[in-house]
Amino acid sequence: MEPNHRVVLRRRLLRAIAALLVIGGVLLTLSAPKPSLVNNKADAYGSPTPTKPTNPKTKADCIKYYGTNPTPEARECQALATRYVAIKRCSKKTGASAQKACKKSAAAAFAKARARIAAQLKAEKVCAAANTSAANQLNPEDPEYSQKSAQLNATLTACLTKARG
Amino acid sequence: MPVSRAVPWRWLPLVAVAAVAVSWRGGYAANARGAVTVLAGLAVLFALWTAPDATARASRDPIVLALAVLAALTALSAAWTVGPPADALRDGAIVLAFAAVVVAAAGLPAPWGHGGVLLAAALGSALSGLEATLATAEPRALQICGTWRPAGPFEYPPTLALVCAGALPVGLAAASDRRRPLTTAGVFAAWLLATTIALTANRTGIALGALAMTACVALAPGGRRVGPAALGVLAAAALSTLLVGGDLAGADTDRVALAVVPGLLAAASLPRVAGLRMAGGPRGRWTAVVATAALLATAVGVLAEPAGCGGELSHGRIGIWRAAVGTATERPLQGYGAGTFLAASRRRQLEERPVPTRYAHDLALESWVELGLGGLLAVLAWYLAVLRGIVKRRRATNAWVLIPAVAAFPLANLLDWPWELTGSGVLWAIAAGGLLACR
Repeated sequence: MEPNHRVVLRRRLLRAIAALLVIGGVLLTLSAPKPSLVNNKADAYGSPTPTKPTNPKTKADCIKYYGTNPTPEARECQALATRYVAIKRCSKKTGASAQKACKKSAAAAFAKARARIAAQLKAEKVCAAANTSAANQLNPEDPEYSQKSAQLNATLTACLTKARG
Repeated sequence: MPVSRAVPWRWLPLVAVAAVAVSWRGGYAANARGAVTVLAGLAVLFALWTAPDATARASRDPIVLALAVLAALTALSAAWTVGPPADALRDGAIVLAFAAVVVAAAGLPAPWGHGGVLLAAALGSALSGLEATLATAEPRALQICGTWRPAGPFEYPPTLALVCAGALPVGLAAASDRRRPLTTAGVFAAWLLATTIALTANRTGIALGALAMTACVALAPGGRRVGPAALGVLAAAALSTLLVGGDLAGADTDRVALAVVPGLLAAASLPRVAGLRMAGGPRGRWTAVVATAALLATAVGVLAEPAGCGGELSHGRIGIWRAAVGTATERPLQGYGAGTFLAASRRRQLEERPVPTRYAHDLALESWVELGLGGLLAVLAWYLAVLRGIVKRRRATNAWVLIPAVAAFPLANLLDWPWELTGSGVLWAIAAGGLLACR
């Protein structure tokens, strides 16, 4: 009778462990932190700090460093990448005049993009200045301080969105 | 009431655990590990329903007991960890899940179903890695030292190589079968796995593949002609790798197409060779021939590594191990808590290398740092239990198909961190369960 009793106990213990795994697993899945955005190897070995792209060759190079937020720096980087691609395409054209025209058009497009970026930078500076001046007028003792502060942040976000087109 | 042993749906829970663990980024992320834990628990409940005796018997095996002790210690370290206690609980749960998968797999008829799961997972991972290599697409292929290498769902080429090495004997078993269609498919599958291992350009992976092939030839029964199949596969894989210059992404379309030819030729011709009885001969001689060829392939793999790639010969491991020993001796008894190797050893690692790594590249050392003396002893007990299991069942019917996979995972954990990629751990647990079921 003793071995049978042991077998029954062991099966019960296994059932309890299995149930623990199921319930614990559900809880662990629900509370799991967000997975790493880099690949498993990079996560294990620690990625080196990304360096600022000085001569970007693709828009992806810019996104790797600046992300997808259309800040003036990110747009400047993307304009450089677009110019690089355009000039590379020009070098494949046959005939000196065709190449010259292509490069002229690429330079014009780059100048236009830089003008847009300069305008964006100017508009963003206006947004930041307006926000700073409004924030200085806020009184932290004011009972409606948090409400007003949130409103100010929303105004800044709207202003920046408008500036970034 | 026990269900008939021949029912294929009995494999479903185990197949589900393996599929989720491997395909969900190799089971590395915390949410994937949670899902694997749930499925492992369900697999045990199912196994208790379908094969209660075998399941209960397997739970007494030293391999399972060592894993259970390690799981308990890992979870208990939540009480004294220097990191988040939730991480210790998560790590403990996944170790217990490995033990659960061993128990569930031991309740199923071995070894062909177990081998089939290993082969399917390895082939799927290899194809996914090769496709990504051709497309130069991260993360299923990674650019290392200037060349793109297949990484598969594990996002780490050495673990893809390990999984392929573990499944090689299954391919070779099919390749040495008497049924012609199975032989052809087996040769082609083994060629694909061996070529993938070579393209990962990972020295440990190539050495494990070579060991798996040699062990397979040495342990296979006399009636099977595994030797010629292994030698043919090795030669075809080496030729394919040479045709693409070891760099699949850098080769043009014609060369890639040409690289498939040795595999197709081997698949078409090897079954005929075996049929003509040219391939017979004493097993010992074949073992020596395959071992020599495998050793040569490993040496070429080591020598072919670009100069200056990865630093010195150990790729910085000696520095990591030195930092690990130094960290462990500061708190030798209780350790720093599960999942804290990086936090605990960061300062010492920075004295050895510019960027500290998350893992110690040696399971025993990592356990000593994280769980103290108890963790070190539990891991050593696991190694001894695996060794005992292999020695005890080496002559069991068809155990030779699973033994290389059961041995390769602990060996890889002496130099790398496949333990952290749950997918490879689950595949080992399935192989280990299959070995326990071999009689």
